[in-house]
Amino acid sequence: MTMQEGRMSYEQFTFACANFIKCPQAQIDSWRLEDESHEFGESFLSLSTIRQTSVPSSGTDADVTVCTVEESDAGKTDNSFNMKLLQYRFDVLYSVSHCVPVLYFTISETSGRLLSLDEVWTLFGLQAETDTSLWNVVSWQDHPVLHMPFLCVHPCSNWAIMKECFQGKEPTCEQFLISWLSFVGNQFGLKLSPAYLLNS
Amino acid sequence: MSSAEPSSNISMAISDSSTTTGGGGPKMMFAPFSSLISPTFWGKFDEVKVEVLQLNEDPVPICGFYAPHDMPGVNPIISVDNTSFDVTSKPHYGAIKAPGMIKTTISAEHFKAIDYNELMRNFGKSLFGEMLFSEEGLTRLAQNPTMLASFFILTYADLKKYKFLFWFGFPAISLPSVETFKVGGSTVPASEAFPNYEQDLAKRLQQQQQQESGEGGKGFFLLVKNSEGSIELKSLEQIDQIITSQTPLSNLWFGFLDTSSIDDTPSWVLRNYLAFIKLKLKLPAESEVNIFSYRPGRSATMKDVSCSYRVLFHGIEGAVDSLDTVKFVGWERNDKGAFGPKHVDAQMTMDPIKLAENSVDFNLKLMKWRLFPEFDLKMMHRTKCLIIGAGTLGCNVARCLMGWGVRHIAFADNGNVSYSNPVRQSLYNFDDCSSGGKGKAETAAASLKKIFPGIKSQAAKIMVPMPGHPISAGTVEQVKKDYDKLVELVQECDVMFLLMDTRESRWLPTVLGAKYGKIVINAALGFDSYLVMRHGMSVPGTNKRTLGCYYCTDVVAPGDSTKDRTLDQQCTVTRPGVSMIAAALAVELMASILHHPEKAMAPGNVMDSDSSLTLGFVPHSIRGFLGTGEQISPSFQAYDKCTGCSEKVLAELDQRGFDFVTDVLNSSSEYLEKLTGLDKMKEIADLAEGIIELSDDDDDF
Ligand SMILES: [Zn+2]
Repeated sequence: MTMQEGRMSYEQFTFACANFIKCPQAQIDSWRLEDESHEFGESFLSLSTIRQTSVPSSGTDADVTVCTVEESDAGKTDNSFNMKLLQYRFDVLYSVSHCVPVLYFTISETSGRLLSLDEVWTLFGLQAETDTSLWNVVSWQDHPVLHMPFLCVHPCSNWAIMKECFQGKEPTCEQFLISWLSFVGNQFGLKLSPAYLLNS
Repeated sequence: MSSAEPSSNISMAISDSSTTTGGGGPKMMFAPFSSLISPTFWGKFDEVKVEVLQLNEDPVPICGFYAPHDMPGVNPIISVDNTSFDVTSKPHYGAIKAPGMIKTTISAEHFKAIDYNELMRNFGKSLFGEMLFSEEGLTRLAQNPTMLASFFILTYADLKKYKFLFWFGFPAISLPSVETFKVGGSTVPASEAFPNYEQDLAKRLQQQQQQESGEGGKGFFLLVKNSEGSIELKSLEQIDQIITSQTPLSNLWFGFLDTSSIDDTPSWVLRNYLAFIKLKLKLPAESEVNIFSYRPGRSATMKDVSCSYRVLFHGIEGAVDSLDTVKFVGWERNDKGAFGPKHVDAQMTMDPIKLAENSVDFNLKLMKWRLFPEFDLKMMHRTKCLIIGAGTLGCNVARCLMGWGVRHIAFADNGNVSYSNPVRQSLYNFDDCSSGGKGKAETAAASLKKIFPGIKSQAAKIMVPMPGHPISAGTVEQVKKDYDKLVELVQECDVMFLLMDTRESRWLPTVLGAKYGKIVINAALGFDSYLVMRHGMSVPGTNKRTLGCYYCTDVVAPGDSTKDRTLDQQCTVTRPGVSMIAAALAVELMASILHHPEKAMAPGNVMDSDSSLTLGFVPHSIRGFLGTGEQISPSFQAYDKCTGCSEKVLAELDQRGFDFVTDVLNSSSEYLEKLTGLDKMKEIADLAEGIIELSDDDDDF
C-alpha cells in the first residue's frame, strides 16, 4: 500500500494531520486536531465556519411567540434578520476499510437544525440525483467518533482520484492529505487557501 | 439622555429627546450578540437532560465561545456546541470562552409562565452584576473579565419529538437614564491612534492572542502609553497598579476583542466593560476614557480594522451606587426581529430512526449509481407487500424485501410461534414461544420494526379458508370474517406472496389475486427442491391471460392434503437451506417484475425478452433441485380449465362471492373439477402423469 497508489496508512494519516495543524494558515482558519481518543482510527481534523447566504431566514415558525420584555435603546437592530447564517462543519477522518481520508460534513442553521440532503443540494444549486459527481456518494452516516449524523462523502472512489493525482510520484503524507482535501473539499464548499500547498 | 429600557411610550419619548440634547457626540450603540447553536449541542443536551437534569429546573453552568468572524456587517456571535456542557472545555484558536448558564423548564407551560424581565435580572445579578458593587467583586472581574460576556439559555425540551424551545439572554447592565455613553469626537483608526501600529502593536496583540489561545484568551486587556511615548500591553488584572501609579486617563486604553463587524458599533460586551470601568475607577460624571476596539483580520486578505473610541460618561454624580439602581437587558431577538423564544426541530440530528432510514436508502442508491441505473427506490418504498404464511419462507421473504427498500409489509397467518420455529424462522426468538407462543403474524410484524423502525408492518391473524376443509355451523362466522379480512388485505396490496405449507391453502389467494389483478408470487418447497413462480396476469381489459398460475398444470382440484397423513408428512420437512434459496428467489423475482417495462406482463421465457435489462429476463417459474444442483426456468401457458385462474372460477366468485367459496370449502374436489370441466380431462391427464409429478412434490414433503 503506497500513497502513489492512492492509499495511506493510519500512521501516515495522523502524521499528516499533526503537520497540517501546525501550518499557520490552519491556525488562522481555526482547524482543530481532535486526538484525545487513543482508539485506532479516531483522530480527526475538524473545521467550523460560519457563512452568510442571501436566502432570507426561513422563519418556519408559524407561531412565533412575541414577548414584551425591557429592551435596550442602545442595541443596534440592523437588517441582519433578513440574512441567513449557516454553519459549516468539516471533519476529516480516516477510513480503516478503504485506507484513505474520508470527509464528513454538516451544514446547519443557527438554531442547530441540520439542513437535509435535499436542502444541501439546493444550496449548492444541484439537481437532485441527476448530477454525476462526488455528490452522488454523499449520504447521512453516523460520525464514527461523535456518533451524530454527518453527511459523509463515501470514500469508495478516493483512491482512484488520488492515484490519478500523483501519477507515479510518491507524495509526502502532508501533500497527500492536502491534495485530497483540496480536491474533495472543493466540491463541498471547503476552499483551501493556496497557502497550504506552499507550506507543505 | 435616557437609557431606561423603554417598555412604555413615555420613557421612549424621554430617550428620544435626550439623544439630541446631550453633548460630546452621538449616542453610542452596541451590536447585540447573536446565538449560534451547533447541531452537536442538542445531541449532547439530550444526554444531559436525561442523565443529569431530569426534572431539575435549576440553572446549570455551561460555556460558549466568541471569536472574530469574517462576515462584514454581522453581529458578534456566541456559539455553543457539544463541548459547552463541560465548563473546562478549551476554546478553539482565537476564540474567547464565555461563561453561561442553562435553565431547563420541565414543561412548555413553565417556560411560558416565566417573568422574563425578572429572570434576566436574576441572571444579570448572579452572573456578574453583584460583583460590580464590591471592591472584592471588581477585583475578581478584573481577573476574569470574560464574566462580562456572560450569557444564559432558557430552554424546554420535548425529547420525544426532538423539539426544543429556547431563548438566549445576554445580560447587559443598563445604567440609569442619567448615565449614557457617547463617543467623544470621531472614531480613530488604530493606525492613527498608535504610532507604527501594524508593525508593532498589532503584532504584539496577535502574539498575545496566540499565547493565550491554549487556555482561552481573556478578550480584555490594557494599553498604557509610557513616558517615552511607547505603548505597553498589560492584562486587565494590572488595573490596580495603574490606578496607584496615577497614570493619566488620556494615556490609558481599555482594550477588548471586539467581535462585532458592524462599522462604528462595538460588541455588546463593551456595555458591561464600561460599567466595570466606571465603577472600578470611580469615575465622576463627565469623565472620558479611551476604548480600544480590537478587530484583528482573520486571514491574509482581511485587514485589522481596530479603532480607538473616546467615551464620555455623561450624567449625574453618584446615581449608580447599588444594584437596585440598575436594570439588565439583553433578550435575543428571534429570526423575525421580535423578542421571543425560538423553536428548533432537531429530529434530523437526534432521531436514530431517521438516520437508519437514510442509511438503508443510501446503500440502495449506491446500487443505482453503480450498477443498476433503472433502480426505482421510491417505487420500492411505495410497494405494498402481503405475505400469506409467516413461516420459514415468510420470515426470509420479509427480510429480503427490507433489503430492497420495501417499507410496507403485511403478514397473514393463523399460527403461533412454537419451540421448533425460531431456528428456521428468522423473525422469531425463543422468548416468543413461551406460554403457548405468540401469534406469528403479529410477532413477525413487530420483529421487522425492531430490525428497522422505518418499516410499516401490519399483521392479521387469519386462517385462509381452504377447499376440502368444510365449514361447520360453529365456524361459519369466523370463516366469513377471515374471508372478508383476506379480501381486504388483497385489495390493499400490490404484491402477494403465497408462502403457506399446503397446496389447498393457496387456492383462495390465487383466485383473489387473479380477480383483483395483483402480482402473485408463489413459493413452495420439497425436501430438496423448490418452486418459485409468478402467476400470469390477464391482458388489461380482457380475461385473457397468457402465463399460467400455480394450478394451471393440475388435473385435480385442490383438496385436503393433510388428511390421512402421518405427522412428518403434514409438516414441511425440507433441507434447511431450501427455504432461504426459495425466499430469496421470490423477492428477486418481484424486483425483476417491478423493474420490467411491462411489469407483470413481462414475457416468461428468455427468447422473447429484452436482453438489455439490468435485472435480465423475468422467469415465469424457477424450479431447483439441490440433489443435482440444477435450476430450470420453464414457462407454461394458462389453462382454460384451471381451478385457480380460469374465467369460469372468476365469474363464479364475482357472482356469488362468499357463497361460492363456501361451496368449494364444503364440497369434495369434484365440485371445482366439474365447474371448470377439468373432470373431462382427467383421463387424458393420467397418461401424462410423469410430467405433472414434479408439481405434486412441491409442498407435500
Ligand atoms: Zn391457473
